[in-house]
Amino acid sequence: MRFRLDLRTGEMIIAIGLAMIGGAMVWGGGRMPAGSLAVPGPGFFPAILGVLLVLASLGVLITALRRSDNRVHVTLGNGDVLAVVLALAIVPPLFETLGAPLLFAVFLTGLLWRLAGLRWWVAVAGGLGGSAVAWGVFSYLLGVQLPAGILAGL
Amino acid sequence: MDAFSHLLHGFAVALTWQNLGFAFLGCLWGTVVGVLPGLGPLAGMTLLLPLTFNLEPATAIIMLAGIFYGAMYGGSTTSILVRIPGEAASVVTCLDGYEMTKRGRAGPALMLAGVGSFVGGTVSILGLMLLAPPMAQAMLTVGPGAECVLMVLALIVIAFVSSGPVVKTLAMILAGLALATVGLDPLTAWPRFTFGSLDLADGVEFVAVAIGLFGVSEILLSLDQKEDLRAQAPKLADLIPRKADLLAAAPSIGRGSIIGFLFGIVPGVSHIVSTFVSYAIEKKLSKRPEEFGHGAIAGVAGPETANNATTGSSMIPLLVLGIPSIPATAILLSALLIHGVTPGPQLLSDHPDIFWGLIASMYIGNFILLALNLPLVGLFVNLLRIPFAYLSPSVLMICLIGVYSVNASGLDLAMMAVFGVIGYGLRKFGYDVAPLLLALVLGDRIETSFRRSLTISDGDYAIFMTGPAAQVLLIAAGSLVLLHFVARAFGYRKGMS
Repeated sequence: MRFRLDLRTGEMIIAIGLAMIGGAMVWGGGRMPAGSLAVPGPGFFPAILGVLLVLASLGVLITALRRSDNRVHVTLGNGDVLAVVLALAIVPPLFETLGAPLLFAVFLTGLLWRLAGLRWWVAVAGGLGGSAVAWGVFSYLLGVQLPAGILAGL
Repeated sequence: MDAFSHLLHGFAVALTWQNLGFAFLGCLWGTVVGVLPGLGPLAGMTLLLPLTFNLEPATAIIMLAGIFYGAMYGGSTTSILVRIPGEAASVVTCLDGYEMTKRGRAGPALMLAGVGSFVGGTVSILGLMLLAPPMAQAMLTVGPGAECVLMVLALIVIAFVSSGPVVKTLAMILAGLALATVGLDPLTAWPRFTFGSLDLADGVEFVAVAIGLFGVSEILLSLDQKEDLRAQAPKLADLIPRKADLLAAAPSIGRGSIIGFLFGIVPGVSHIVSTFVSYAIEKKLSKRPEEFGHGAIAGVAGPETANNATTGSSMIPLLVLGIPSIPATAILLSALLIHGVTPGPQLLSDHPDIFWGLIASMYIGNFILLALNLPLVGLFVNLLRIPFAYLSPSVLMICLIGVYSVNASGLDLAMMAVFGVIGYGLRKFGYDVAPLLLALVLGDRIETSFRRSLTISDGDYAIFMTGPAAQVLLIAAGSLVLLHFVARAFGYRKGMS
């Protein structure tokens, strides 16, 4: 599964995204005390930066629109990239609840199965082994604070 | 105490078993991440950052610096043997290095790249040692106005020397500065863009953004291009270069050392630009320029020397001014701040152990790398045979551990994932994400020095133009912008492309 996007459209999307961030900065900065030119307040910098970001985005947009050759395409992602993105998306909300050992085991198993094309039981063994090694090295040896989650009582 | 006595003290710090061990570990890991395509110095440093939390500050910085210059060494191996640059600064080495490999001369190419890296690295450390103390002394007299101008100048330089188009780089810098405004206002503690989250009160976590933009996005980009690597490592006996090779490489190594050192001081993508400049100069000065691109030894020795010569000098802005000039030194800055050490002109007087210990460790590290890289080149090349599909899940897991360990925050993990995807998209469309990261580091300090200067001057903006330091910096910034537009007017960029 691959997405193809021409360079001009992609650059326009990024420019619009940046302009929206700039606009949000101006709006957000306006809701904070701006102070004065002599004594700038907390809203001063965000507002100024927002304006500059909108201007820079316009520059990117104009450059993209002036691009004469629209045949250059950029290929975005494939099944593996999507699998990694999905795996990364499920980690943050479950990390503290499920705990690092269990989540890492699932994370590694899923990715080893998908990316390396391993048989399911080899991927499970790799996932469990990798998670155990990581837990041992980082939590026990290096003293990194990782949540044990539902395995905390064991 | 003079520089020599300080250096002796530095060696006393660097030669403890603990520091020596961590310097070796840093060099070894640096070489590994340099060799492996998809992992560069930045990813390598950020991945081991959590390991430094329980270490002494000097030990932490010695190890991280070892990764930085180790990756510079390691990057050349894959460029020469399989035409895949381990990191961006080794792109130029591919041109002639791989051609030499195709002609059965990989050994001399690797050997001279290693020797050049050693010479360049040593020259730049020497320069760092001699230049940093007087510069730090001079910086102590600079007020917040000039400090603010200096940081803005650093960002302007980055915008104009970056590898991408200026307008795109400017947009990245402004996005980085915008990100830096998230969190409590540095002077009034007013919450800005925190959306009521306590996790965001301290601002956007630099490590999460750095690992996302560089580590995760690099993995996503690598998964986009699956390549089967078949690297052949030369035997130890094949490494010995011919006399003619040595004679041809010696002047290139000398020039590369100077070019690399000078470019290392300039903020931006100094180590990348220095390799291109070195290559162009070598080609220009060569009696046989037609050999370049077909296995010219000067085309390998010069850029590789320049690449490594930037490592020492790129530490000057960080250690003397507290300004990271490239993303790798931004990680060093972050590590120092985590340990409660603020880099800047007072680092030399307040933490001489760190400064001189680092310099001494870099001398030692250069020897370690020379000893590691040449005899063990076969071992490192074997790393390339590990399929990336096996490697990437483990690397991603270490990224998650690294980010979580900083603040024990799930939000940071989400931020890493989001910035990973953003970095992937931006890099696909030709954006250089390094300026965003540097602006994120400097943003808070630019705003603080700007507002503090105005408080001191009673709102008088002339404070940014008062004093010789501020005036010199403003003239430099103005000249740079003018030079850019003049160059554009005369079609310089067009000609370059």
